[in-house]
Amino acid sequence: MAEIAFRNVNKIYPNGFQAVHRLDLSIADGEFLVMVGPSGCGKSTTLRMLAGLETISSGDLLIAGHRVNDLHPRARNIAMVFQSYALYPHKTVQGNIEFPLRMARLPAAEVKTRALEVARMLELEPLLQRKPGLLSGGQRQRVAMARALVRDPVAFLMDEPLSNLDAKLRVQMRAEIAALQRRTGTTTVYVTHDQVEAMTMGDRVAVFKDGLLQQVDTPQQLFERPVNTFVAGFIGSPSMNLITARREPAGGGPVLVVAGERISLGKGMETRFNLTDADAERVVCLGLRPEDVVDPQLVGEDRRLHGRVALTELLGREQMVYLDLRDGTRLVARLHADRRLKAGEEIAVGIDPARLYLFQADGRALPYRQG
Amino acid sequence: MPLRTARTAPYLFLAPFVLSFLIFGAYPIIRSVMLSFYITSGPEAQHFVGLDNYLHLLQDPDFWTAVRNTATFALGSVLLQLPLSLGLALLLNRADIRGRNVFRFIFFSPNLMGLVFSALLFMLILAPRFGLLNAALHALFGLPSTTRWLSTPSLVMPALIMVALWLYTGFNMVYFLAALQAVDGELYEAATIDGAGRWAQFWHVTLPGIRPVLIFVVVLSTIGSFQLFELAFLLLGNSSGPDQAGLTIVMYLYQNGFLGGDLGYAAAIGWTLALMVLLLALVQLRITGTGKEAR
Ligand SMILES: Nc1ncnc2c1ncn2[C@@H]1O[C@H](COP(=O)(O)OP(=O)(O)O)[C@@H](O)[C@H]1O
Ligand SMILES: [Mg+2]
Repeated sequence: MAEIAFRNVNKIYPNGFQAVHRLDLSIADGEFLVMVGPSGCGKSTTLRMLAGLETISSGDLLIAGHRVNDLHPRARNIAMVFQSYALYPHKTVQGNIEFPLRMARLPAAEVKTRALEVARMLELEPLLQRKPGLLSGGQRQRVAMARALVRDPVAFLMDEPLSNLDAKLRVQMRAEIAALQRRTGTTTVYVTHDQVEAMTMGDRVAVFKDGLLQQVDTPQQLFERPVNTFVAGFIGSPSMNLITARREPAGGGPVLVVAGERISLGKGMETRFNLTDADAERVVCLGLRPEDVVDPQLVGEDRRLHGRVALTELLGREQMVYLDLRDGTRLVARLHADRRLKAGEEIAVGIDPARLYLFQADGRALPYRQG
Repeated sequence: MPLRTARTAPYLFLAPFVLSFLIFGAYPIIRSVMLSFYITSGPEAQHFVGLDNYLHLLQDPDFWTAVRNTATFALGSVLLQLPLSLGLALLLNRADIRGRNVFRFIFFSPNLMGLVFSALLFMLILAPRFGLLNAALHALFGLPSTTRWLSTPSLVMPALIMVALWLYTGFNMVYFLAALQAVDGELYEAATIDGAGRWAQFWHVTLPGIRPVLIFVVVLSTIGSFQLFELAFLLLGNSSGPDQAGLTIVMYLYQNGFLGGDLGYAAAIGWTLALMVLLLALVQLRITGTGKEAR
């Protein structure tokens, strides 16, 4: 058992910069947790505190229930894959893979068999006698993985391990790493700035911004129930439209005023929110994913927005449409491309209340409906 | 016409170097090889003797004394200097040492002084009665303060090694510092995570990382030590010390060629030294396996 827990952890660098604020995060034994966020949000710092490469300014770090703040990295038994791989340049691939076992003073025979086993698993056997300088980026990445896998660590930490690979290899390795993790069942903390990676690999995803943990949830929950506008905008590609809106008092259910037009929410029961009157009053922002913009024919007159096409991009069977609404607000919509729209064209788009996201002035989402 | 200009231009540009090399480089080299086959007495009187100079050299007990002294000096300097330089570099490379730059400068500063000044300084330090070294040894260990460093045969080489230590440790330290700073810091983090302690990190990350510079410094200081002359000359004068305890190969060359006037014999000594140094460097490179790496 090796669950990991951050309890009110802060990191203040010697220059006074606080990189991590009041972090509370529990990672279950065997879980694949992905930390994601824009560059500079404190992901690496968090990972390095876990590895013991950075000190913890305040708060507790627990591994398997024990406080490890002051435990030397060697004593934590954690394996890590670095972004630049950090392979020992003068050791062969085999020497690199065997190194952690040698340091653990395992018997030579066991060192050899275990290294071979892992090399076989990662298809590195033909490369065992090469030096890292003669390997391709993808092969180096595998060696770095092998060096971590060869141990029997409490947890694997990976800091943007795929960011130096080309797009195709990245997709392939993404699947391989996820599969390896499932096979070994070792707790894994994976850092990336790429939300697609996060959403496809993680059991759960922790979203960071400016050193603050925003939300930890399953990919599906993050997508369907983002806690605030930051998470809503960060998760999903293309990004969610976030448009100023206000609630208008009206009989017959809540109405939103968006870009000068009125959108009826019916009785509010279709939305994913618990729209008591008091809550709906606080709405200042409407979130709408480009792919959730619907054909105006499918909704009533009271659920349409009108605008002029500014720009379109063809994506095969679909097109991205950049629309300027009546008051000039930009709306991005992903529409079917059976009729290609042209710049300057006036069109209407439909809004389905069930697919809306609603946010308050402080950026938090309205309370979601239970269940 | 323009074509011819274009053809000759490269040669014109190369001419200054080639000419000065031929005059000041190649000619003296060839001339000294030829000279080593003659017995001379001053620049005028020359008498061809073939390989006699070399054969005589091999049986010249003074020459072998010089070789032994020089080898002692080289071994002592390299074995003491380099570990000390590396140790200082490791220490001053750490981020948590305060005033690193001040210390770096202090250790390097002997190189900013002239050799003559250093020699004078050490004459005072090594002086029998009032010298700093004797005073310190007396105060610390109660040793007699009358030790005559530069006129006791067994102490001459240790004294020279000590002065060289003072002179060159800081210089080599700078090489090592530069090499250490070029080692990827992430490797230390990876090694820490892989369970390597300080010693293992030094052995598996630092040493391989600075290896090219280490070899370079070893070879260079060996060659430099074998050419020892000025320091011994300044501290001991022409006399080469009591019982020839400070006689180095180059000093012997100087005595024969410029005091004794036999430039032929001196040239033979010079070429023998060059061959010895070349062989030593080759052996060192061979041992360290330089030049046949797959990288
Ligand atoms: N050693 C350091 N000293 C001061 N500030 C640092 C140090 N390391 C990182 N930072 C700052 O801390 C913040 C978080 O850094 P990091 O954890 O590396 O971000 P991420 O990995 O999410 O891109 C950044 O603003 C970075 O500039
Ligand atoms: Mg980072």
